[in-house]
Amino acid sequence: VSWAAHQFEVYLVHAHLPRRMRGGVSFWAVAAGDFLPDFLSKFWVYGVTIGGTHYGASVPHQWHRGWPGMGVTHTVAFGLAVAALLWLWRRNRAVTVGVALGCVVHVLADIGDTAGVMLLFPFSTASFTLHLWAYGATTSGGKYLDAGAYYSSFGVVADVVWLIAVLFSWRALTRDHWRTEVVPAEPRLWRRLGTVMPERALLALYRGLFFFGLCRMVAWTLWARALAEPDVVGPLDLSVEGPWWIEARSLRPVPTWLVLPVAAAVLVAVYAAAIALWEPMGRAEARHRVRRAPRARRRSSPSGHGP
Amino acid sequence: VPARVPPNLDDGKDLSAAAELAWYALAGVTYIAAGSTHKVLLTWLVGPAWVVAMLWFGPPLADAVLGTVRGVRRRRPP
Repeated sequence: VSWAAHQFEVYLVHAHLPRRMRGGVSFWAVAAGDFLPDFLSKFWVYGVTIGGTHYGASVPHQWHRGWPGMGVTHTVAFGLAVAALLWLWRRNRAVTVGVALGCVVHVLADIGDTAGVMLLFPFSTASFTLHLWAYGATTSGGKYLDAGAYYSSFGVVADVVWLIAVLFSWRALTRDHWRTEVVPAEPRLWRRLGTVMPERALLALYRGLFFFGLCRMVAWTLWARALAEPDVVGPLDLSVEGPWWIEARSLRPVPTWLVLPVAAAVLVAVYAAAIALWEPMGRAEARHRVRRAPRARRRSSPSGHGP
Repeated sequence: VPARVPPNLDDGKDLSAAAELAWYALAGVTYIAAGSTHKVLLTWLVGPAWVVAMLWFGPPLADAVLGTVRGVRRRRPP
């Protein structure tokens, strides 16, 4: 489980888009792609207790990252499949490429904990993990124990590394970047929002995920290290697969030396495919818009029969 | 097919860099304080909404309050 890292990586993806894609990839699509895996799987990981009965996954790490289970949401194949469906539906490359990149980066960021992700699904269900910190979601501990374990382990270092990476790419948070590379990719959405919100609020909306990531990192760390009862959250432990006071759950992992080369290869392959498909997708989108234009004009004319 | 033209969203109501930083810092400190005691607030919906609300409504509210205070001071007899 990565926490604030998933907010920071959205800005990193958007800040380091290949040159030809700059100003063309939807920021909100990257964010949606990044949120999608946990949005679909995490609720049931923690579950819900009603009237003393707990409803949720009986083996959270299997449900969240494994197969059978919702671990399929944490695979590169899933991100590409969702992007392909979006393309067939909307023919919008700004959204399609954004969702694909967001989802893939989320998957790669989750290789740090002991549960890992099935990077090569559907060809293999083996788990790719660096074993840096313990996967902490349990049926009894819920979100609080998960947060306590994460912010008492190497996970907090991982979040800080992602934060530093965003701070090195600080231009991604500037008004200039927002105006020149974020707004042009979604002009209609920002124009609509601009009719009700002042520019400083629009900019705050764009920076909102960074703000949330930074604040949740500080707040959960503060809670885990200073406010939580010692019998709920144990001491800080930055050792591998830490913290020692929670069982490090895992799923049929591949040898650790294999993880980084495969992850790097997957990332390069996805970016290479996105770069190669960018122009053809642009031409296909333009053709689609030409075909749709008369229909849209007919719909907007008062008689309904066009001009 | 009309090209997608990016809208000009500059409303000329920019805050100074220092004022903007101060509003973000205030939003951050209040959110962290509220979030570490009421963890239900630490969600991806509330976090961004918090900073947007602070930057949207904070400056005009502060201007209104400061304007009222200054007005009261000016009206006060010497």
